[in-house]
Amino acid sequence: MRSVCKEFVKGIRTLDDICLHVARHEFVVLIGTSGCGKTTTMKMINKLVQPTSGEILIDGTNISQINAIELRRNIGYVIQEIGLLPHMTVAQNIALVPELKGWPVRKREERVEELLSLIGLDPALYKKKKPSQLSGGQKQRVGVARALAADPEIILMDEPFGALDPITRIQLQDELVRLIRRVKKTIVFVTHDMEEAVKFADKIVIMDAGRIVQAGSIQEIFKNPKNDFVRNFFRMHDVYNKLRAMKVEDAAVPVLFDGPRPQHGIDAGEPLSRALGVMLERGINCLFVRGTSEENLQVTFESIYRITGQ
Amino acid sequence: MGYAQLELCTWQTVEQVTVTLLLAIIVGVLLGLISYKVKPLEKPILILTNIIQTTPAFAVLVLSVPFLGVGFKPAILAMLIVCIMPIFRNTFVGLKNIKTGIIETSVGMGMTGWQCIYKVEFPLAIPVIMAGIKTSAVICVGISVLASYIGAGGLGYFIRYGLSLNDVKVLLMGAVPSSLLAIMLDVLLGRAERALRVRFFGT
Repeated sequence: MRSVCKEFVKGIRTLDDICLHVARHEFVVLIGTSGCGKTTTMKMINKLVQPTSGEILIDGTNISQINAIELRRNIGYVIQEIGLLPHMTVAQNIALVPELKGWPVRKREERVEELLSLIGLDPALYKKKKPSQLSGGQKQRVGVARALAADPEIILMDEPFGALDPITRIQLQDELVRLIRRVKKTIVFVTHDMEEAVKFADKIVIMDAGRIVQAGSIQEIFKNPKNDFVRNFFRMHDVYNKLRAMKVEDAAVPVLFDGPRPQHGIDAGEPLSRALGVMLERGINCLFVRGTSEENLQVTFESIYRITGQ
Repeated sequence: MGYAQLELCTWQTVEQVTVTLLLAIIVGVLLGLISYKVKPLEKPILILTNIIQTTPAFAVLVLSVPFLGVGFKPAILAMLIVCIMPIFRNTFVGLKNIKTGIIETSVGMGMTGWQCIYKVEFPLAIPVIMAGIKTSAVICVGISVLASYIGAGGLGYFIRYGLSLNDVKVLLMGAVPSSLLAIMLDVLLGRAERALRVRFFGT
């Protein structure tokens, strides 16, 4: 997906001059308060909403040149209501897009089994079940599997975990993270939950009143919040949020010759909150930082305090 | 007023009911679909059907005589007007009550308008439509009895005759079979409705 820029007028401008670039295999999270236009922005990508002006390009092709039906069959789509078809079995639901695309039956069946295993549901047990026989979490898993079925390059997700209880939600979020790393897709994800954004996003796009307020990686945004809206939205005064958003390498400082030698290590890409957790758990006050270009880096209570302090 | 005539009249009634019901299904479902799909037509069709539904069935029958005359065909037409209503209403409501999320994902996954109708919207509305057909069938038997007043024949003939002769036996010869027919249709179509519900929703 390349260079997306669109503008939407509906009497009043619901979306105003949205410019967004999504790289291949990037996980982009659109985040904002209700009614800020994040869902509308997402729906324009699969032409459920037509932009009033401006253009959306996928791989350099303007999507207005692509047949809407064709386009949608090549984009995975998951929404909060899931929208599993209640009169079809789990297998039929998953095989829906492959069926629309005219895959042979054998290939469809294989794909269904493959995907059911991927989402951790025993194919023999679940294939013939109806959606009404599944729990909320299982339904959402099937929803994700359905979006993956025809192996689309792009997947759109609109608050897919919004309707789940907190425990199931966290479990599914973790599963999705693992799944996404494996399948390598370009994902546009809509949410208002900042924890979700921090968990998934390569790039976070903060929206307010139909405009993009700030876009960038979570670290960039935390280091450099553009205005008070962003600061408030991410509850940046909350030290714990900051710790989770920042990485170990952000707080890394050289090990001093005459100082204490760290006995344990942590990867540079881990969230800072993890480092602090390890230090408190083991009762130590410094950790080696692994996996950086520089040698002899450590994080200490002091270095963490320095970067998170107001 | 023999049994041979009873048999004939029963078949007449069955014929009337079958023909009317089939036509009512076709027209009712189509009307329901149209008013569901074509938003500007929704209100006018609903108002029209409301007016027709509040008019007593017998009045429709009698009112149709100046326009349609008497006999089998006019009777069918008059019955049709009354019998379409439950089917039309249920089709419309059944389609309207499908959760928006289901339609949205279906469209979002790349179904064409027709695919959406026959793969998603219709199967989901069918149990509700079936309930409408059941109601319609029972009403249909009731009116077919009245239709004998405008010369359509059928079991109503026996009832009318029995009433005017004050002959309970003749009256029952008309009333019992027509009641049985109504009950039978109600039970059978009710079963069909439940079966469809189980098939499509698993409950």
